Amino acid sequence: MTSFLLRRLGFMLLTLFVMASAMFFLFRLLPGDPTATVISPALHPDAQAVLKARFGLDKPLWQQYLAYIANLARLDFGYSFETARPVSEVIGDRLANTLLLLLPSLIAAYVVGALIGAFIAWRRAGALDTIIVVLATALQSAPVFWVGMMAILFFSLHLDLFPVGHIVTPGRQMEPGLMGYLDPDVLHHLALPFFVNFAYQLCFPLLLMRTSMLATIGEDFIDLARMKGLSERKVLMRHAMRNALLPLATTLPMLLGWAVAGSVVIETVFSWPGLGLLMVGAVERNDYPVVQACFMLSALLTVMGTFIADLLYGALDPRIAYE
Amino acid sequence: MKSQFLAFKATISANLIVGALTAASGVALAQPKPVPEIDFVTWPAAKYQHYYESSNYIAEQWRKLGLKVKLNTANFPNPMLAMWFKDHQFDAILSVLSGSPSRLEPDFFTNAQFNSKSNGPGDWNVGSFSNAQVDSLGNQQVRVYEDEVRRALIHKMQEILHDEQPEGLISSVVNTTAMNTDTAAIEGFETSADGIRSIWNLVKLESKRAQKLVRLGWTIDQASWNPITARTLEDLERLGLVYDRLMVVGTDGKMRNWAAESVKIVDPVTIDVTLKDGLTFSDGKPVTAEDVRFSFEFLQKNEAVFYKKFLEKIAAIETTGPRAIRFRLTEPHAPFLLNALGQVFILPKHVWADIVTRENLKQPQDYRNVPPMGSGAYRLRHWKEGQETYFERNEKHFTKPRSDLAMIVFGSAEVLAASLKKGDLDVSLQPLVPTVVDEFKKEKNLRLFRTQSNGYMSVRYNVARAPFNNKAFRQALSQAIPYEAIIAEVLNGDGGRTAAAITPVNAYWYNDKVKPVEFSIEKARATLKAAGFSWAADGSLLMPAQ
Repeated sequence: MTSFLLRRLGFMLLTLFVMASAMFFLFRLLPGDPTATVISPALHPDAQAVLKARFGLDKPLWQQYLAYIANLARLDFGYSFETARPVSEVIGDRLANTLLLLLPSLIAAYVVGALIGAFIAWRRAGALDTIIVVLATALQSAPVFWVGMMAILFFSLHLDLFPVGHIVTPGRQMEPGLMGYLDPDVLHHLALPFFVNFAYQLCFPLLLMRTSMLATIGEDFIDLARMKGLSERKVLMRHAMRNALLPLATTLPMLLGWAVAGSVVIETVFSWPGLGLLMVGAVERNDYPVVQACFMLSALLTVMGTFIADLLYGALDPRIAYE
Repeated sequence: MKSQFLAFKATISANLIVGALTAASGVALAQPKPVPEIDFVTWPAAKYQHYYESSNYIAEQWRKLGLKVKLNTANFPNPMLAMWFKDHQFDAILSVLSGSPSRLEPDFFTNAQFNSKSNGPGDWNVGSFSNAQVDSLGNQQVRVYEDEVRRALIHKMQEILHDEQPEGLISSVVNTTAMNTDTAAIEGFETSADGIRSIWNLVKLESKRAQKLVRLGWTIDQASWNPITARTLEDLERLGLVYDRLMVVGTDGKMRNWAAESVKIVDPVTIDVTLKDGLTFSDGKPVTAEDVRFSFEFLQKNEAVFYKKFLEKIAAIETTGPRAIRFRLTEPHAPFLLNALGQVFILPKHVWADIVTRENLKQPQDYRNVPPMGSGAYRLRHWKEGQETYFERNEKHFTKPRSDLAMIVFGSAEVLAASLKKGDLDVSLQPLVPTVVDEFKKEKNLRLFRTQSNGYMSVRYNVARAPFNNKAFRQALSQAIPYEAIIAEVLNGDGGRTAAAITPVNAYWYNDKVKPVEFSIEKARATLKAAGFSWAADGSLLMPAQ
C-alpha cells in the first residue's frame, strides 16, 4: 500500500511537471516575437524595454523557465502582469466564488442524478425511462452557454424571477467573510446559475447510474434478495443502489477539476466573478502568470481527483487491492 | 486650380505623344512586365469576420482591375502587430486603428503616421510613406500653438495626403451605445468621439431613482489603479474620473482647461499654467503647484509606460507661486498640451513621495493604489475586482457631477444588452452589436447614442514597394474600394465615410473641403491608363513601360 501511494504520488508530480513545462513553452512558442504577445509593439521601444525588464522577459528563455519552475515548486505563481498583485491572492479572491457556484450544484446533481438514475433503471423500458433518457441526453448535448442564455431569457427577462447575472445587486456591497455568502441577495443571484449548472451536471451521473444499475439488477444477488422476501424498496435501496454507486463515487473527484475548467463558460454567461471569468479576462489581456496559475490549479485538481478516485475504489470495493 | 488643370492636360498630351512614338517605332520600348501579385495582409475570418470580409470585398474589386490579389491572414495581436510595427512585410494591410481621446491630437493621424522620419520599429509610418511637403508641414505644425494657424497647416496636410493616398480610407468606426430613459437622463449631451464615455458627458449623467446612482455596464474591468503601470485606454479613462488633469480635450477636439484656470504660452518653449482656486484632494488637503510639478516628475522618473513618450520634451518644471507652474520644453511642441497637460494626472505629493518606505515596497510600480486619492470629479468608494467599480460623486468638484456611477462588469455583451432592456442597468458603455441596435430602436424607453469614433479602418499601402511607390497606382486602388457596399453590407451601416485619417468627429481639425474618394472601377481604370499601365490580352494589368 505504501509503495503504491509513493508511486502514485511520484506520477502525480511528474504529470504536474510536464503540464507546467508544456504550458510555459506553449505560450511562448507562438510565431513571431514571444514578448510581442505580452507587450504591445505599439508602445514606444523605450517603454517596451521598461516593461520587458519589469516582467523579467528580457532574460533568456531558459533562465525564465528555471525561475518559473523553481517558483512553482514553492507554490509561488509570481505577480500578475496587469495588477502587480501576487497571483495567489488574485486567485484566492475568486476561488471562493467559483466553489460556491460549483460545489453545491455538483453535489446536488450527483445525489439527485443517482436517485433518478436508479429509479428509472428500476422501471426500465417504461415511458418515464424513455422520456428522461431522451431529455438527459439532449440536455447534456446542448452547449451550456446556450442553456444559460435561454435560462436568462426565460426566467430573468420574461418571467422576471431572477437577476440576469452577477453575485450581488449592482451598487450593493457584499459582506466580507462567510456571512456574505448567506446574504439573501447573494442567494437570489446564485439561484439561476446554480440551477443551470445543476441541470447540466445532472445528466452525467443520471445516465451513469442508470447503466450501472441495469448491470447490477441482472446480478444473482438481486434475485437472491428478492427470494429472501425483501420488499422491492429494500432491494432497490440496500442491495442494487449501493452496489451500483461505485462508478459514481469514483468519477466525482475527477469531475471536480474538470468542472473548475468548465466554469469559464457558465461564469461568463452569468458574469459570475469567479475563476472562470478571471481566466477569460487574463487570456484577453495576456496576463500569463494568472492564466498559468488557473490552468495549473485545474490540472492539480484533476490529478488529485484521479488519485482520490483510485483510493476510493479500493476503500469501496473490497475486491480491489493495491500492490 | 487652373494651373493644376493645365498640368494635367500637359501630362495627358505627353502620354499621347509617347504613345504615338512607341506605336510608330514599334520596338523602341521593352515589353511591359505584369504587375506582381499583391500580398494583402488581413485578419483571420473566424475572429474578425467584419475585417476579413471588408478585405475580401476590396480584393474582389481590385481583381476587376486585372490584379492578382492574395489575401494573407495574420493573427492578432501576434504576429499582426509585429508585421505592422516592425517587419513591414506586406503590399497592403487592412489596418484598424481604434479611436481614443489622445488620438484627437491632430499630429497623430497626420504627422506621426506619415512623416518619413517615423518609419522605424514601433513607429506609426508603417507603409514607409515619404513626401517632402508632408514632412515640412508636419514639422512646422508641431511648433505652432495658435489653433487657427495650426489648423491651416493640418488642413493642408490632409489635402496632400488625400492626393497622395498612402492608404485607402474605408470607414470611420461607428459605435452605438444606449441609455434606459426610465432610470437615467442626460441634459446637454455632447457629440464626441468617445460618446457617452466622454468625461464631459459622464458628469452630466443623472439618475432618476432615489439613490443617485447611475449603473453603467462594461465588459472590461480595471487592471491597474497605479498611474505608473496603467496602460490601457479603459484604465486611464477610469483614473481620469478620480484624478484631475490640467486640461482635457474637448468633444470637438480642441483643448479646454480643466484643473487649470489659465494656460499661457509665454514663448514656444515656455508654458505657464495657473491652477483653479480651491481644489482639494479627497483628504481635504489643497491641490498645489508643487503637486503638479511632483506628478510630472514622478511619472517621468518612474518611467510610466503610457506617458514615457509624451513627457520627453520636458526640460524643466518650476513652481512660480502656490498655484502657478512653469513648463520649459526642449523644443516647441504643440501636442504637449493634449498629450501631457491633457493626460497627466495630478497626484497628491503627500501620498506618493514616500510611498516606497511607507508601504514597504520595492518600487512605486508595486503600489496598488486602492482606493486612489485624487481631487477629481469622483472618489472611488469601492472596487470589487471582476464585478463593479463604484464612483461616488465629489460634490465640491467644479464639474458638479450629478450622480454616483457604478461601472458593472459583464461576462458577455449580449447579457449586458439584455440587462439594459430589463432596467437592471441604466447605460451601456459597451458598444452594442448591430442586431441589438435594431432591436433597441423599437424600444421607447431606450435612447441610442450613435457615435462616430476617431478610429478608422483603412488599407495601408507599402509605399516602399513597386508599384505602390506610384501615386497613380495608389489612387486607382483607392478608387476601386467599394466603400458604400462595405459600410452597408459588412458593417451593417455602422461606419462613416471620411476623407482623411482625422475623421469628421474631430470637427475642429477635420478638413471638410476634402471629399472622400468615390468608388468607380471605370475611373480607376482610367487613372491606371493615364499613368501608363496597360492590360494584357488576358486582362491582367501590366506595369508602365520603362
